[in-house]
Amino acid sequence: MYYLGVDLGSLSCDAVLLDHDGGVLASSVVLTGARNREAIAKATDAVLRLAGITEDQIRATVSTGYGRDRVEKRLAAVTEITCHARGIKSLFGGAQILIDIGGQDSKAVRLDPNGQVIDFAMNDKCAAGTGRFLEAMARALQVDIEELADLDLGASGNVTLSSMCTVFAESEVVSLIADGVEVREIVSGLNRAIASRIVALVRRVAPMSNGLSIAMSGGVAHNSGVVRALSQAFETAISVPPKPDTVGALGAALIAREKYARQS
Amino acid sequence: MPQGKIHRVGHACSYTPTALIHAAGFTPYRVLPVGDSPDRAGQLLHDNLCPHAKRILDRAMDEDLPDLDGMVFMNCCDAMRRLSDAWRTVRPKQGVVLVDLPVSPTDTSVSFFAGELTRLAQTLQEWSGQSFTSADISSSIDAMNEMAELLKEISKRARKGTLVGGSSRLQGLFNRGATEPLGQTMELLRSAVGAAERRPTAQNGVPVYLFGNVLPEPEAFAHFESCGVHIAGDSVCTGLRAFNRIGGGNSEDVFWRLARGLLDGPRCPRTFHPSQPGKIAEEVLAEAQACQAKGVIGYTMKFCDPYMSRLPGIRDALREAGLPLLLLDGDCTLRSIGQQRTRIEAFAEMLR
Repeated sequence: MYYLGVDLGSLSCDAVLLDHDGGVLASSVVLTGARNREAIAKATDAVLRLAGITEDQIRATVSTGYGRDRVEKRLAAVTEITCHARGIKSLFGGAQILIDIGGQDSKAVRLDPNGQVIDFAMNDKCAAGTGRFLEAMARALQVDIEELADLDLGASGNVTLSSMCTVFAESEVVSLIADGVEVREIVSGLNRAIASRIVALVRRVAPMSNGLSIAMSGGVAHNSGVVRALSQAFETAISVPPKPDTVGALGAALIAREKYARQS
Repeated sequence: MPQGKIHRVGHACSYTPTALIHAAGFTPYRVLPVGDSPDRAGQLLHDNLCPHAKRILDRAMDEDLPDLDGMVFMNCCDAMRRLSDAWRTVRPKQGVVLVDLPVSPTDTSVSFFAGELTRLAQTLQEWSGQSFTSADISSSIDAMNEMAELLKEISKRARKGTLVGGSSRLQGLFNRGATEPLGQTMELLRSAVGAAERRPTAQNGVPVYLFGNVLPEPEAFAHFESCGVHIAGDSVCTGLRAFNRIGGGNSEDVFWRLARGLLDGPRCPRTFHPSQPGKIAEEVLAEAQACQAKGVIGYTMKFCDPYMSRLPGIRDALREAGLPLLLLDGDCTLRSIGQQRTRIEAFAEMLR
């Protein structure tokens, strides 16, 4: 018996397939694009192929992400807040704060010792500090988004960006380039700007975050520069799983397994 | 005043003395921030002003209103005062009155407010061309009280989950009570109270207490329920708070009675007792606990200064009591409620 979690996000569609015991058999990440049903099919087909099973062997599917209602044949649709919390609990059981920075929004989630959500805060009204924001900045700097991760290394950290609005920040980056500011200084400034925004978000759920264990999920966690800036801002190490973008789908698959067990 | 036609006087705040408007022979018509009038109020009002005030002005600019013989504004906040100024610009030929509303229910404030209501009565007489007596006002208070009692009973059923049509139907009835002639509304409400109750199927949702300012769209309540919450109690100014029973039937001065009744009614954040400025937090907590809510949703308008000043106290009181709080800010459009879907669903999941 197998369990599937599908996370249909704004930038990527992720799938995780679990076996009967809850072990991860396969995971996939595909671009969502304009046709989200196609993205769901691609992500699902990929995990089925990797695991060597057929769709009819899946006992339960739980969907999450902004497009969770678009997933057919689902046992339930669960919000990404609950799914990321469930996923991170299985990876870092002691996490007390979860930071999820996705393609188009960011979230701070406070967890109790059992991994249950006790408070959360979301920024979903603008793309500041999200994957879309980083894409725009990479474009302005004429680098691939993956290259951004270590471009801040060796920076003195004396460049500060005054705006986090994606449009204004892009203009500011262009101006800094025109002024001859080094790329590593600009990237360092971008990372610190994202971190300061996330600190404010976390303060809403944990006014005193000192000493709390922090984990991170979502695609932006692949960017080690952002993670470094967050670590400095919180003055603590941030736990990041090897595949941070599939944490929501993992949580969804775990919930699918639990729900199926309860129903049977 | 010509007979055979409904004569309406508009208003925009739950502190408006609707019984006085009724006694003057008018139908009180609350200009609710609803509809799809184009967003044009920004021509006259600042971008960062309360969307409630702007939406009302949008309706006036779009002529999306029935004929009004006049407009009564309560001086309840800066946004409403600015709205009254802008209204005079948009409708220069219409009678407009701004009634000062004290912030506290002390005896001095009640006396002052009674004076304001006396002044309003004179204005209403000028608009209608006919006089009315204290006995007329008492009679209108009684009629409005009856409507308030009926709505309270229907509201209880909705909160228990036994009202056919649920919370969205209840909001529809509140809206009709706020805009239609009293006789028609009373007939409808009596019929609703006399109808059989349904089994409480809506109880599948997690019980929450809702507080805030304006939420007049019936669809908004259906949306809340579709996200997995059941509104077990509420205090919003487009709901029961706008239909407050006026007590003091033995009072000799009917204006004083009305002033006392309005200022002693369910509190909105712009009204407080000087000795207990943070009492609204205790009231929200007490009401949430009374309806056995597992969490509290605060739905307030963006840029609402009175609420912004009270929310920290409310948040602290709920946190100390262990009641989770979800704060949502709205802009008087259903679109903004749709965007909140993930938050409301996640809140319901958290409370389960």
